[in-house]
Amino acid sequence: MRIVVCIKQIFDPETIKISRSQQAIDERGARKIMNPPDRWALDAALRFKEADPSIEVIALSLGEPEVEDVLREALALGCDRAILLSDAAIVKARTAGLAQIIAAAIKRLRNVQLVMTGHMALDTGSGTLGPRLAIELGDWPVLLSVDQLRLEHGHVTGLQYADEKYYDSSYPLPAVATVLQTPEHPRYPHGAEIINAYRVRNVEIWSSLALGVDPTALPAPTTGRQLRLPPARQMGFIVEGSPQEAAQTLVAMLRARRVI
Amino acid sequence: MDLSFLEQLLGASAEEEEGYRNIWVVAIAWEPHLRPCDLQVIGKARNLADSLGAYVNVLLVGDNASEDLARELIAYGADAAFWGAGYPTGRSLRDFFEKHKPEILLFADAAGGRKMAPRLAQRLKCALVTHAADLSINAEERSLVVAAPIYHGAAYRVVECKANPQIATIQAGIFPTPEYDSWRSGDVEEVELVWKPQPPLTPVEPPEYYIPLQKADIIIAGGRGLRGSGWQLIEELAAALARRLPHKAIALAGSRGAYDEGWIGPQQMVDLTGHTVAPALYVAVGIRGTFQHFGATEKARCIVAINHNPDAPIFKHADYGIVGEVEEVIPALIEVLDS
Repeated sequence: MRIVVCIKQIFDPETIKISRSQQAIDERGARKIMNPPDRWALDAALRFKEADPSIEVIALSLGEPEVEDVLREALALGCDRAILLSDAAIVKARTAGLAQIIAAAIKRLRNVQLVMTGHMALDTGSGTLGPRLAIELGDWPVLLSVDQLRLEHGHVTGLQYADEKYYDSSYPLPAVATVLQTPEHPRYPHGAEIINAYRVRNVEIWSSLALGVDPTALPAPTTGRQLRLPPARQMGFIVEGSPQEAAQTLVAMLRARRVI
Repeated sequence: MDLSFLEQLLGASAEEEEGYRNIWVVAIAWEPHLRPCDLQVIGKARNLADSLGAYVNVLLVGDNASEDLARELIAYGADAAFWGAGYPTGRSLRDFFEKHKPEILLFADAAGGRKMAPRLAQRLKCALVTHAADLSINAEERSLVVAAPIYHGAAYRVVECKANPQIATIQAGIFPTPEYDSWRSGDVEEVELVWKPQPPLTPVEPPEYYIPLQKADIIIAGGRGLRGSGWQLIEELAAALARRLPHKAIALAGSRGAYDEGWIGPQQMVDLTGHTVAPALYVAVGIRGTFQHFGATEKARCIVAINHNPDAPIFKHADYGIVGEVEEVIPALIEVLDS
């Protein structure tokens, strides 16, 4: 059986700069990384592979050729194959079209029982890829935003948090699962494996033409207007003095504001 | 003579000729009562509909959907309520909306809508704006203008929908819950959709120490700055506050850093990748402050920061700050609270 993990390359949210004067996000000099929730998804998939070596894990990404870097990282982590969907049409595609082309690639792979991805991309993500893919794959069930993912008896099960309650949610395969970040640290690749991933391993590049899908056929349904920045908060009041004095002043002030 | 302005007054626009009209909201009744997040969406839909000259129709589904709950939806601002007890299949939901042709279709960004909205959008091959934090109408185009967070709330991207139906999911807690007006009247109708068996959900015990952060009046949050005995200190601080204010719900939480250290679970993480909170008082201890953290605490009424580093960004975000070692400041605070 095959598991496909969809990975996005994003700007590291911690390295982008926000320019208040220009009301814009400055991405120059920002680092590009594997979207962290996708890393957790990949990690969970590789755990399944460790438990059952007959499972083949395939990393899949989409976009400009430079996205290859995250796929090489996925190879270094232990994926069997890495596929990049890349051509001029794919780069221009929007969400509904993206789901179509990714689904076409997954269908071509055959025997894919589980598609995993992060619960959302931390840059401009909407968290809708999983459910959209499920429709394009032929109405597969979706486990949305789960952790503690398990594969047993042809079912995929995960812990789901919904409306302030926890549920164990389970669906028969084939299915789509979007994964939350959990406290367990995901693994990072060994240096030698990274070198290997660039020297020996191969990232397959597929085009939309080869898949027989035109991802730009669907019209762009929204237009971007502008960026809006949240208002800057007023600088706070620093309570001075020794710890005892500061504590007394603070409690008095909080009481005056009726918050305690 | 150009009479287009008159036509506009009469509400005859291109979209209406195609048959797309009215604002629809999908509400879900898992429990035998309505969810506040759905009511907030209905309240906002009411505003938008009034500026468009459209009706607000609500489709109520879920195990506990009933005629009584549908009548309540009218009292909260809907013009017509359609209900059916069960979970509709994706196909029947698509057929329902292809028949009714909503101009705008809104969901709460909560369980149910999060999965239903993108699946429906893909079936209809149309756009979807998720996590909307602000909505307005461009009256000339009759289009929905939505602000949605990017980079976890560091900024908001404003997009305008171009094709009907215009679908969005709306964040909970952004818009007020509308007033209940028992004098409002409207049509209530039971609908026949194709129902599917209930999703296989088994409730499990929530992890220990769990108070839903969204319900807490006071949140004490710790960050990486709490080394060694620091975590125990903030637990004691929470206990001291609980002794002083027995009627308040006090919750312990942490930053992304505390979560990475394994001190808290995901349900306690205050961060835009975790939970967004709006307590009356938020005490950040040993949290340096990232914009993901600020985004998640923006709605707190009062923020107190305690950190040893006077240059920590959190002080720019807090209402009150104390610069000092956690091991000294917290015991002093506990002493004052207990006296």
